[in-house]
Amino acid sequence: MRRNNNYGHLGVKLFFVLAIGAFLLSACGKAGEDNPAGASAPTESDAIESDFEYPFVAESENGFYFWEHRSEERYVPRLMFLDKESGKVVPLCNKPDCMHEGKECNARFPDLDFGEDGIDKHYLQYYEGSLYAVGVSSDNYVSLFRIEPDGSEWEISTKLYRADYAATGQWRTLDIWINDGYVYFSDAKQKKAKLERMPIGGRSGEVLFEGDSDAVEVQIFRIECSQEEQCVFFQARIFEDESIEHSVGGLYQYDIFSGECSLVKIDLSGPYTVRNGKVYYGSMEGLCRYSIQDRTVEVLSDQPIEVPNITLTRDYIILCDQMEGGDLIIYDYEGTQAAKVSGELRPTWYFGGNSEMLFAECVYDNKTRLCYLDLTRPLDELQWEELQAD
Amino acid sequence: MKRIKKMALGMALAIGLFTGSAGSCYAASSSIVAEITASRAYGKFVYAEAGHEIKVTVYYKERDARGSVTANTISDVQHGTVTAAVVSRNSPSGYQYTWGQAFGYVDGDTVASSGAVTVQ
Repeated sequence: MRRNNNYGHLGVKLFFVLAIGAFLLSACGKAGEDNPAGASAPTESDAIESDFEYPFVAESENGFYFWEHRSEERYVPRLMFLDKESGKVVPLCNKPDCMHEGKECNARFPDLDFGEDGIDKHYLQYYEGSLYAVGVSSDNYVSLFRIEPDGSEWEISTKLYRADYAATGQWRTLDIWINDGYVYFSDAKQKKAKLERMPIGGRSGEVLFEGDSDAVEVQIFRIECSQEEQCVFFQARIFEDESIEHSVGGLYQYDIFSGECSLVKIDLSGPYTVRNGKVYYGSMEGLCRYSIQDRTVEVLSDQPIEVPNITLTRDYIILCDQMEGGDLIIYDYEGTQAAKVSGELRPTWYFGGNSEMLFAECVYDNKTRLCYLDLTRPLDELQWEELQAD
Repeated sequence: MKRIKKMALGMALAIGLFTGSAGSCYAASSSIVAEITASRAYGKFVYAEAGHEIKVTVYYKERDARGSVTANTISDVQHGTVTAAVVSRNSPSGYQYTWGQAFGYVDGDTVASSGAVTVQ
């Protein structure tokens, strides 16, 4: 399904201007370098630096795209835009005189539905001047959808694999990431999942990783790319039988140049982020940093924490204690705790962010709300706030 | 004659309003329920008037011991004389459901929602 471009006057006030040619936007990590103190931190550059474990907020050079939360007050989520400069949150629609509530609004996109093109209102990624979402096509393919940055048009970009949605009515958010002209994905519905990739707009893909032929089950999860490493990192667990005791797994990497997969760290199955050849993760040992080259673990802080979400920013390592209350714990790169964020709004589903803003779903007063945390504030004033349309 | 014209105009207006009303909203009664526990997601949408496409979708989240969270949906669609759509799904081994909410649809329009359920 193609949406007609109904506005003909480009001189009409737009909510934002996107400089597509001058910027190649990377959704992955940046190159980093060691500092004299020995603690590694990402370097500053003009590239977008963001670290999302759940890519449900897409960053462009001008702002952030996200889906509204579906609720009793909002039956059909709209695609929203948070302008970095003005701080305003608006539906992604620049139709003149549009009230942004009806089906005609450009910010409205079809939901997943039987026999129709439909988009899942979670994954979003901004890549080389386009916004990407994922859903199911009318002919029942899990597909990558491309959306114009102003929301005026959308189309199916890449059909990834045959869905079972038409038969089962079931949908599960995908592990999917775009990098280097390819879509990296795994079909979690398969008992023996594989890491695959397909060129954007392509028709066929290739398998990058699959378990041994005698494995009874293979799970693939947490796909992340690293521009600096020229690798795609992912976690996998391979089951020899139905028992978890007879399984092996951990963090793997796919080297883009060599096309080889290798195990980076065995048994690392919780959230992680890779920067400068180091894997950062939280565990019952504490906040850890693992050197891929040296194969050594450095415990930065010995406060045990169970599978925390983790975000690396320019200055901090941020852990979200998702299993216990959603506290945010902020460390510097030497492992010193810089701040702890609690409060009435606490993440129940933490997405990630960048050096200026973090995003999460929080529950307050029995309602789920999309929230943000402004990292530019003083550390002792940090708090989650609801992200609402202006 | 003036009086008859006024009455005719009033009747026409009332019919138009009624027709317009019946054509633009779903006047039949409906009910929707979501039951979400750590091990089961269930939703049921009942629409009292037959002859429509009715659908229930339960949006729910699940989490595993590795800390991975996924957002899922499960839907059931019915047509014709059937007036209830029902979905039910048990959590797979190693996963727990943490949140859920059901929405009911008539002919493609969302007409009802249950309250959100957060599993403690």
